[in-house]
Amino acid sequence: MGQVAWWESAASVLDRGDTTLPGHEWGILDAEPVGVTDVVHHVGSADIELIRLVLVNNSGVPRGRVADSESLHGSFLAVKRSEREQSTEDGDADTDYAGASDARRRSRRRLPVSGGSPEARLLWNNRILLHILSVCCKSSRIFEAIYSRLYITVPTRGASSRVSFRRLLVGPQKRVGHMPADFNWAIGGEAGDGIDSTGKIFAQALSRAGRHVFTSKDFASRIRGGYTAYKIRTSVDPVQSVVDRLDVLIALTPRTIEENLDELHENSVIVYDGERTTMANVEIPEGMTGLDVPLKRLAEEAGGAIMRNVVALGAACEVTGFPIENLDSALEKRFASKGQALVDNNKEAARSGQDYVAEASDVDTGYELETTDADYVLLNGDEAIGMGAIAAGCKFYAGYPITPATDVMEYLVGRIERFGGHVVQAEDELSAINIALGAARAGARSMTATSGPGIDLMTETFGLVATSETPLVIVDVMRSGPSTGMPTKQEQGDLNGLLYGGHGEIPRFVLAPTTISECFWKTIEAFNLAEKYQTPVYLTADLSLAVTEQTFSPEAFDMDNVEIDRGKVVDEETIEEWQNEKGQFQPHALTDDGVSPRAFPGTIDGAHMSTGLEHDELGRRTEDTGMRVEQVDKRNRKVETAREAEDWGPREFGDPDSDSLVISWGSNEGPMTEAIEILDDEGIDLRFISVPYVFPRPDLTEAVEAAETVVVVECNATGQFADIVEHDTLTRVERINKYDGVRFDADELAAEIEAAVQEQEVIQ
Amino acid sequence: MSAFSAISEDIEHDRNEYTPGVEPQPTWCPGCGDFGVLKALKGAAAELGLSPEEMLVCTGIGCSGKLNSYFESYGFHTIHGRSLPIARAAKLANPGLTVVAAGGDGDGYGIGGNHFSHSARENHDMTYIVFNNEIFGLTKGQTSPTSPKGHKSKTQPHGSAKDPIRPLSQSLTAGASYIARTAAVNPNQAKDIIVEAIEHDGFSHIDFLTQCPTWNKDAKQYVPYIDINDSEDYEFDRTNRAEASEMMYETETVLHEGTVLTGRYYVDEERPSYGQEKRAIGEMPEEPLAERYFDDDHEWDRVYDTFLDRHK
Repeated sequence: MGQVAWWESAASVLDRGDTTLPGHEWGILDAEPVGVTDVVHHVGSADIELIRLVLVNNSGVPRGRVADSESLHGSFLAVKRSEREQSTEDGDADTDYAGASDARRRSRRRLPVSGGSPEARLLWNNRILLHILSVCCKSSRIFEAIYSRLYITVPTRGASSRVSFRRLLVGPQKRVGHMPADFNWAIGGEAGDGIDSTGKIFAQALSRAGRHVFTSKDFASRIRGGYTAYKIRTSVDPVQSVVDRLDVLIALTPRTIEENLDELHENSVIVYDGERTTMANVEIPEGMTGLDVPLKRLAEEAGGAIMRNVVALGAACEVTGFPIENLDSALEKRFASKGQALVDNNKEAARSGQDYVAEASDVDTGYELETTDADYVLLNGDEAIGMGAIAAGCKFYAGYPITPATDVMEYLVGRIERFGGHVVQAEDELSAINIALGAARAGARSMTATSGPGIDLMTETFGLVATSETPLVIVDVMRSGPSTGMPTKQEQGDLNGLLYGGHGEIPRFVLAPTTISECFWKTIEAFNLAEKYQTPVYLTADLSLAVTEQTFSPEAFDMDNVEIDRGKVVDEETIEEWQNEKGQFQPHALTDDGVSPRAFPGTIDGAHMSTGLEHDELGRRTEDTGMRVEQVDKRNRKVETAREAEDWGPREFGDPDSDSLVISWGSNEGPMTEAIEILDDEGIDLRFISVPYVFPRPDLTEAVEAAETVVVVECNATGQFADIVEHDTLTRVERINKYDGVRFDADELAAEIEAAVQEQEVIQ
Repeated sequence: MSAFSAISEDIEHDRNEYTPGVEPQPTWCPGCGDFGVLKALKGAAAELGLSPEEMLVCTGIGCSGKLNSYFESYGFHTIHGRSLPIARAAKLANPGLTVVAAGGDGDGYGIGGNHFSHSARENHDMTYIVFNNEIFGLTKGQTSPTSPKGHKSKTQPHGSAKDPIRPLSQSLTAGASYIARTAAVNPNQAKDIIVEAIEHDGFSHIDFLTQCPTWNKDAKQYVPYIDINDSEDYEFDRTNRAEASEMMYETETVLHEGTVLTGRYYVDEERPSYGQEKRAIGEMPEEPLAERYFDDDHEWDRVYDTFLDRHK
């Protein structure tokens, strides 16, 4: 083969518009190394820029190393060479290949860089790349070795996103059985099929049976709108993440099967209603078990077609060996308010599904969902925030509906009133934050919650809240942006906005709970911080935390541990010590700790001005240069006081002595803790630091300096938190970024961290 | 002990009590209509026997925003257009407070127009005074939402092509339950109207004509004015929405023809305020929302049972 022959081959694929993927036939491979343990490949997203290919032997020593300007052809030769020189440790590292620069120039000209989504282009590029590989690698053994270890790294403004070839091209590698006895169930259909409520009932039944539950929702689609699914992962041990595996699927539409092909495996069971017109000719993928249950007919016999999903739940109980009494209990809870007759009908519907499967099928799936005596509560992050607010003595909430933060408001309405509070639905987010601010000034612990688009609007008033030193908790449940973005999709893209949003300079606190139970505790903490330091507090959860239902022991929400600190509030008796010599109250008194007293309207002798203008100690506008500096310093001093007085520590997991450090913030903690276990099984140990405080934040310098490899994991494209870590520690870090709208799952994260850690070892 | 003891006080007040010690003399231009608003507000507060500490005056941005700098009370000088949501929330959080919001016509009818509509619609128990001088004063003379059509300014040198806002009509449509217009040149009528507006249980909107002798020299000093409630030329029932609407439309139209009509245009005593409605259905306590923080016996642990059970 000539030096650029591989490229000619790729170009011909391109010219033909051939999207057939030669690599497909290799499918899922056993990644057992064959003299080659690691290949890292960097590819630009807009052009095939083959930067380097690194090959190492089993002991991790570079065998054939190709420098930056290398081409894939060179890599191929390197592979061949490494094969030839199997016993030689000493690879020829710096050979230059003439075809490289020419190939790169041509690739820029020829690739379809305009049009199509970046993801589509990426896929396209990599199909070509894989084709190249297959042409190059005459030995399938070498191909497999490369292919199974191939990742592409997409550089984006200093950050990068790592995607495995396998994931892009043939779906994720199944890691069946790596978790202790976890079981994955889903129901899917069209929007309006009652998917969400059915899923919740089953989750509730599992929780009531003493099983841990972790749920996720597929709102929208990769193909077209309408598809929706509710997925449950359950185990007797705690579960913190979704995985790429589906054991039992209730499919109300053919598309439900289509959408989940990647996750189904040969032991999967698919429950469907073959009497439904659209499902009559449905094809159950080879090797899987299809259970045709007449859901609608059985529901009608039990009292109404509307219960067909409950029939399916009964069938699921039989398939999974799950005692149906637990489902009864969940049905009672769900329908009790609508009368006993309805409850009984639903129970009967469930039993008819159970009986049908028991009689009609002789399939032994081997699934057995055991129950325990454990007592769990099941809730999502939005609910935990709402509960935390009430526990913290929040008395006032103002909001404007927005996905995915609306649940906070819906949780509070009807509950907060019982504790002397009130919820206002505002005309827009501009109003919502001002309403919350007004109530806070009148003395109520006050909160608003929104998502990114709402934060944009609220940023206007944020400055007033901060400079008037009014305590306020502002919740940002992040979704994918910018603009309307992807409203039902995961992202952690608002971090910079929260840290730096708004004109001028003003301190704020930014908390980012990392789990659902932490949503509860951080909300309480947010209220205390807001009032102690008279500073607005951003509490940011992401969509994954907000909409995921997870089980916890009730002790995780122990209200006896809730403390309320309202800070320096004065009344008519204590106000005197904060008056100047003329008897005037000083709401912005210059103090050592930066914190001044607060007097609520209605307090005798406390009348004062407050303003968004720069002001003096009395709260009256001033442009005096000395006072300006003193007030700015005073406000900033509050942060220093808080830094000293409060605990801003991170959460630590894994092996504290490991050379490999992973840092993340927000909801990534769940999949990360599972990824640690997965990698531990593979002999890779990690230290993991999960950061719930973004400002003020823990000093990570020591941990970063102690590690050889530092990887920051987050759900955004540019690595906003990684930038912060680099800024704080003056050390470059590796980045794993995900911004496709889907949360990390444990398998994927484990694979990407493994690659990052190994790449780093090679480079070093 | 209530934390808000100023509210329960019942003593006589002199209008001079509302003059702050720090900044007794306003810095408005000589001849500015804003002086008239301040004087009327002080007179009204004294007449109502309100102590400075039970009043909260929220203002927006503009010359009018300085009102609370010159009026002794709890004052919150907010940002452009946002005084209304802040003010109405303070009233909800502590119904004992007397809450007044004030701002210019740009602040209330322009940038804050949405809040104006919705505060009126929800009928919050508060008083909203709009300083209407038909110009942007603080930024030195640009066209405002109430500037008449054809009005020339630095931003509309060939004359405004827009019809001005009809503030009274808009207020009525939105749902305000007390609507009046007064003028700075008539401080007695203005004081009486502010007294009525504060006493009214619901959203009281006062469109207050405040002449700007510096930046709106074309405009009249709003004299001579006619009080439609006293004049025999204008017979209408101010509790009748249709008649009020007609009267408002005429008033807004003739202003630009040189006839200044003022007075009470619409009063609905029947319609409950937002707070009254919410309290009636048990969604809001009678006491200030902040009051319970001062109650040492408050049972926080009730939360546990009440809330976690739902999630089992």
